[in-house]
Amino acid sequence: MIYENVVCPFCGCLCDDIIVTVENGQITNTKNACAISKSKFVNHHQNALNPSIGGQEVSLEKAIDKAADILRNSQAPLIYGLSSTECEAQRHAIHLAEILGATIDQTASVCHGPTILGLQDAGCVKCSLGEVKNRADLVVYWGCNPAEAHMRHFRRYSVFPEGMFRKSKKEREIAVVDVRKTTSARIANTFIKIEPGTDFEVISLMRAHLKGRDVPLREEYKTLLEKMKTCEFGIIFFGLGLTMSKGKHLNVNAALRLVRDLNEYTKFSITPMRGHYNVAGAGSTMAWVTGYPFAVNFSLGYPVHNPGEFSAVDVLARKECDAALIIASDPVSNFPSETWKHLADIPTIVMDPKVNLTSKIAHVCIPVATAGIEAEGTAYRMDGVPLRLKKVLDSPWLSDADVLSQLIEKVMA
Amino acid sequence: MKIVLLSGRTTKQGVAAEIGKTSDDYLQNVALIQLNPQVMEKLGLKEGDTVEVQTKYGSCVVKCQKSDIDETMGFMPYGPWANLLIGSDTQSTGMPDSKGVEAEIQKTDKKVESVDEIMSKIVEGRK
Repeated sequence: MIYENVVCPFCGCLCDDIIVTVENGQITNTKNACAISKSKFVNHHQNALNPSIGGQEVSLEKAIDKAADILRNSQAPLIYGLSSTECEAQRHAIHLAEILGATIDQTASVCHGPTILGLQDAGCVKCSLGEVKNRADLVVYWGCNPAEAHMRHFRRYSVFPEGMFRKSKKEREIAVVDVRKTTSARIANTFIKIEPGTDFEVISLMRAHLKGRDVPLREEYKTLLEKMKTCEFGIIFFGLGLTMSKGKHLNVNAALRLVRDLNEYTKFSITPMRGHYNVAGAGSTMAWVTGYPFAVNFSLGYPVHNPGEFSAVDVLARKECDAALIIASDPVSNFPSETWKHLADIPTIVMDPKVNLTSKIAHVCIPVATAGIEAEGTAYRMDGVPLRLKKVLDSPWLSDADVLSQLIEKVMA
Repeated sequence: MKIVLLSGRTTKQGVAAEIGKTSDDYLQNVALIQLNPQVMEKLGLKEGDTVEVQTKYGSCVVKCQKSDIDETMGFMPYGPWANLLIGSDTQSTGMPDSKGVEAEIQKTDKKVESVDEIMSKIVEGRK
């Protein structure tokens, strides 16, 4: 069986042209997929998680019952993850958080959370990736390395595709600003090596120079700024080089304001390079359900948003939760080690298709169908465009959404 | 020797994570640090030798790999080894300082700890 136009459930590019071959209940091949996407499809059954309690295998029903018991008896549960599952499951997770009076956070918190904080303050000049493909004649990658992290971004959206008004790479100028000469930098017309931790300073100087102030801005940035001012349609794609480095949301804030300033001269947009395939959806779903995109607490009976207080790393580092439900993510792999011990000490429940580092220390493990391979749903691309994920295989397990609705029923019973 | 530690995605890390985070592929492609060849020479390191990386938050042992990165920097793929080296203070943003941490590196005879070895330490003596 061959499935066409399958949406890839790996990164925020959400490539929707994957061809998947299924033989005897297994994915045997893919076409158009990048190396990571192919690995996800072809290896999706490897290292599969089994239902367990305290390391002992149990039935799925028992694992879900135990998870409901833990959550019901918790005074201050943390629900975390969401970005590698679909929007319906995210909606159920938020509902569960509301019922429990829990803290709920999603993986943007350790990814583009600072981007959200920046754009809450500065606003964001946005456009779709289709507009970039068809119109952009200047593409600036700042603090990101799509050649390794968003492997088909160049080919589908920004550098190589045949667009309506830009036919090839020759008709586009590509600039990369990064602290090291990455594989992405090698395809760029211009590469600027920025000193680590100076993004805010450099972008602020660029803004001042743009406004005609005499500031000590390096020549290469002045040249880049001139290209930005004089292009017909420019775009900045930025990554965790801005959000994870000193300054964090202030770096992003400065970049957003630079783009706003550039619109005095030409059409310019900016888009974060979102990592997990539905992390943009996690932010959107949380925002339309609770009013806030991440780091939300329901202990007062209504949603309160406060990064630093209700963000997962802080909650765990301060030991402020007494149980955790981890959905479609792996905080032990991705959080600073200081937070791991508390996750191991409290009853942690993991819902995931695969064994991961968090499932290794979890009290309860609940295997689920892989969204986008074994379960349908909606996911949001990095530019905010929603796409429908396909189901190409049956799973022996329930979907995230089904497990979460069972948990809601059991917790409320 | 002092360096500034950077972390990020690599294709090999992404591919290996999809095979499984307890797989040998993951260990081989994530428990590593990329260094400038001159830095490696100064420390008497050959590609594949083990390096102890220490920050004020913790330490880990990883294999080294040549890269055209600056002499003042080291790059590690995202994963548990890199996260042994960063702190949990987020300055009220939710985001730890995952890039740009100062680190000390030295050649070592210690071996790289596997995911299971790291995890068993966390679970040890849990409440």
